Amino acid sequence: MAVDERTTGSAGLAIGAGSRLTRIGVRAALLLGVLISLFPFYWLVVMASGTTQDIYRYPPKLVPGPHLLDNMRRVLDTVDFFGSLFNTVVVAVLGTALVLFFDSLAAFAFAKYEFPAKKFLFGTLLVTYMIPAQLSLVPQFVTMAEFGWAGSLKALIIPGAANAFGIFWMRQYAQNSLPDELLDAGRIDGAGFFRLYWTVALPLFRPALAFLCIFTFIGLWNDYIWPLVVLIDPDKVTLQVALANLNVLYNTDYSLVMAGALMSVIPLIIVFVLGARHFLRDLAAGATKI
Amino acid sequence: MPHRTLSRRRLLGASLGGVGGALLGLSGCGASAGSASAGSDHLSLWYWKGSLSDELLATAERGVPGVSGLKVQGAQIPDSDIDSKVRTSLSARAYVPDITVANSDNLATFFPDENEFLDLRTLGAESVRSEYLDWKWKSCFTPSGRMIGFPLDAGPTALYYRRDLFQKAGLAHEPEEVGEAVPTWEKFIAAGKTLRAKVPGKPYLVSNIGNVFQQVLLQSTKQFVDADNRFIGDQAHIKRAWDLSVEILHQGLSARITDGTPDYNAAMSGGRVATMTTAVWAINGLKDTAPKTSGAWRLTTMPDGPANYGGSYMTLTRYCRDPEGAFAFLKWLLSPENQLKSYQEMALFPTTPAAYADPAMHTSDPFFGGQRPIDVFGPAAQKAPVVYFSPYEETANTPFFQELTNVELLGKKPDRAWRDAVNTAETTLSRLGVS
Amino acid sequence: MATVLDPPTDKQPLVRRTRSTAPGGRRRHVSPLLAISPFYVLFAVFGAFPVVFSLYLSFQDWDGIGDMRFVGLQQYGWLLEDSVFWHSVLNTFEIWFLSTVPMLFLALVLAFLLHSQVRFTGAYRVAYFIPNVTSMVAMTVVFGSVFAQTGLANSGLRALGLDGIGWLSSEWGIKSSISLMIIWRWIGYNALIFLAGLQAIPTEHFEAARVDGANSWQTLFRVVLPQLRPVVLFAAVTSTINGLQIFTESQVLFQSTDVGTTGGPGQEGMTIVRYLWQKAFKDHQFGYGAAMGWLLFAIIAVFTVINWRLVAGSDHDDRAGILRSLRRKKGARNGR
Repeated sequence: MAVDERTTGSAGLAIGAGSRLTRIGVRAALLLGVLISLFPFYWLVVMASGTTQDIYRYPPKLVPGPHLLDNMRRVLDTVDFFGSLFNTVVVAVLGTALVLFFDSLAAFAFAKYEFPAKKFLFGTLLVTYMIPAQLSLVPQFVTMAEFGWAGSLKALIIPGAANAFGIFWMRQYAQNSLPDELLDAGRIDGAGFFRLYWTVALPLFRPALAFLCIFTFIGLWNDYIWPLVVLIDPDKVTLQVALANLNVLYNTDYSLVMAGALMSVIPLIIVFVLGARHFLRDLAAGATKI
Repeated sequence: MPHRTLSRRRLLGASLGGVGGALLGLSGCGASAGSASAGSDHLSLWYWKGSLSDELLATAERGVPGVSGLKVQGAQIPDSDIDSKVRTSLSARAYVPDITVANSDNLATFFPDENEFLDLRTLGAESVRSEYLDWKWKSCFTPSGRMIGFPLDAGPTALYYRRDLFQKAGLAHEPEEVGEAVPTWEKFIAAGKTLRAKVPGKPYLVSNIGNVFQQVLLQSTKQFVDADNRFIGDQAHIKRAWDLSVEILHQGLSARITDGTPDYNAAMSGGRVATMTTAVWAINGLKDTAPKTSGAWRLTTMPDGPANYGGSYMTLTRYCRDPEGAFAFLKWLLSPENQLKSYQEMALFPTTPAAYADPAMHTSDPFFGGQRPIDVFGPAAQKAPVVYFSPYEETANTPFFQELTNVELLGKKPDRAWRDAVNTAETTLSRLGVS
Repeated sequence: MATVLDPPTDKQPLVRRTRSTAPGGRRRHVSPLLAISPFYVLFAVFGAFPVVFSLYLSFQDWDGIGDMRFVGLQQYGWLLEDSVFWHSVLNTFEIWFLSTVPMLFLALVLAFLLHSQVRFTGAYRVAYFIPNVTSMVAMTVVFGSVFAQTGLANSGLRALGLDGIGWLSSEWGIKSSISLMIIWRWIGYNALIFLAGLQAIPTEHFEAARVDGANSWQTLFRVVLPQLRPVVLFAAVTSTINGLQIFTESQVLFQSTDVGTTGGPGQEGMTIVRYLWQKAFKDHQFGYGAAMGWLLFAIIAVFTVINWRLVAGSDHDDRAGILRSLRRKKGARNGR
């Protein structure tokens, strides 16, 4: 249904109403946009597969060179790439799992149960979303130091393990897509809160969880300022911090740095492209929710 | 120390209330002992690339010779970050390295927190004192007399220049001659004008004027803050450095490139910059940056005479798991023989005079067309003035470097930039109790 | 933010009646309260406490290692006199303006283009969204080399017979480079948001316009744009909040060891958060950094409100309308 609506709607738009020529123009513009959007990745591949001299040659070399594997091997020899990758994966996977669990649990309660001070608590939740993270960058670090968590991956995982955005978004979803009748049926069977959550709510949350999962995963994977501040041991950093260090330490060897950048980017692009279907469908709805 | 730790923790516990307090109680107890190497079989060492011999470190990773069971594992941190990273670990009291390298200007900034570092005299440092340069040894002490640093290398300076370009310009081009032909900064500028006018491709004299400012500064015994904690950065010795730098810019002799950027690398390999005014430890960086220019460079005396630029220290933090072992490592790594090896491998200039006479110090370097670097750096090390650095030096000089960049890259009026630099330095320092 | 887009809805769950008569008294509240507690516990410890503590810290002079020294409001006085701080505020706004305005405009155009397109929409979306999901550190490294004096950008200009630009060494070069990176990163994201807004406009509105004899442009300005207002508001507010917190681009681009170019030559790339980080974690002035955090918060709050007023105007009905339609669409998709 929705598709029909969309196409008829677009017919009323300035651009959509045009001739064959305009349609070609539109397609050309879109393709140009795609090229601009993807060009930096292509250029990254070109730089990562060439030599440092190639990067600053005039006229520039615009096609990939033969040194990609060589440069990548040098990255592995120079920095503990897999160690950083492992840290990043641990943070992103554990962090995402906790967010999914805590957020959906809280969302289920907010959407389908009554309890004292519910309105107030929900309001507080929304207010917390408005506090910029940088406001408390310093005290957060000090808190971590007091906990003895500074330098540990815990500092990247635990503080953000439940977030206001996810709860809000999941609650909206729960209200719309979790029929009360199902819950009632479960209750008649004697299921309590947590069993209803696990057996009835969670399976129905799947699409929303998929979105939240990718959203959170990407955010944790790419986080930079907080790991930069709170991770201390240079042997125990995430990919982002490792790459930033590589960039400074090896500024005379740009093909090495670029190979490192490429290697740090690839895993996430794969995750995104695989999950893009779930993610992009809900993106607009999710983003505009708060 | 435990007292302060306790009070801070109590403060947090009280303000966090029940839940937080419980969490603190839970996690606080299990917190690591603070050392980055806790639970491992080695001591941890933080350094930046090029500050220590890679070969000796590789040996120490397998086991420090002469000390059974002692292993040291190094971790590289960019030199611009190492000081703040050490501080961060100290304030977190976690993952603090057992051993760390400190830049010459950074050692003084640790003076206010001197108790975070071990007093090396308590570990028997005095027993090796006679092996080290006297001025370097003295600079390891805080004003209260605590020895928190151990001499690593020294940084005698020289003028690095491109012999080929000087020759094309019709200038004196052999090291001795250049030293005589360019005895002052004024003559240096004159040579730069000739280079630019006569050499095809119009090479620049310097990559940026900040480097010249730095060198003129170090040739003075006084810096920005004197021993009585007074700001003297608005005086003639600084203004002279400033004016000379601005003059180089106005003559169009600066390539106006920030060091360490891709552009810098391109300019150095492309022969667009004819000289470098820097210390001995820059040799390896230059070889890395511009390998293809090998053979074209030469070294000679710095205009207006040599100075000491940088040169580092090693420190042991109070979290060090094995102070005796760590000190044994320092003694081994920085012994005259090993400083000699570090010089050969990394151009780290020894702080142990016994090494200077060794034939190994006097080898020639094909990168400098077979010239023996020691012939320039050796005398420079002896003639460098002894300079007083206050803990506030970096705070005080940063605005000047920044304003100089403003003049160089953004076309700010030099007079206005100078006034702004003085004002900023004064305001910042007044907060720290320097007037 | 929340209130604008927060649906007024909440159809009361049917179960409620059943449950309130159910036995169990207070105990029946335990489970839901337990379920929401992780967020509140974590927030209390890692959110609320640091905020309160940062207020306390902002009155102290503290290097994070030694003892704290109380300086009180003087800290804010110093901050307000700090020319670098104001420079960073100005830089941040200049970069924000240079990036947000063109970015939102181009995103709108892109959304219209995408909307008129029926084929390959999925592929387009993925392609346009990829910049947003890739690591900023990696892409800043890439752009850093593109904008170098001898980098690709200047090679391109040279090929066109133009002079190179000091992308990373002049005031506007630095700001343009950072802005271009932001535009590149966020354009697809915002376009997809706008696209969702476009698709949610009910067909009747276009038909009504056509019946009234409106041409394409009139339709665009009278029907489409007003309907899009809440979505544009959302994008503007988000972009402002993100824009005022720029850090990575500035930090990674100008990581050089040269003190003269901290935050870029002339500190033209020094943003507020970059300076906060610099003061707190490079110079170890924790109290000063905390105070700066509060000023940043104040600035963000003020600008969010202004933004809101500007974009939202006084037109509340449209907003409610689009929200209703957004929800209706979503409902349809979920098969209800």
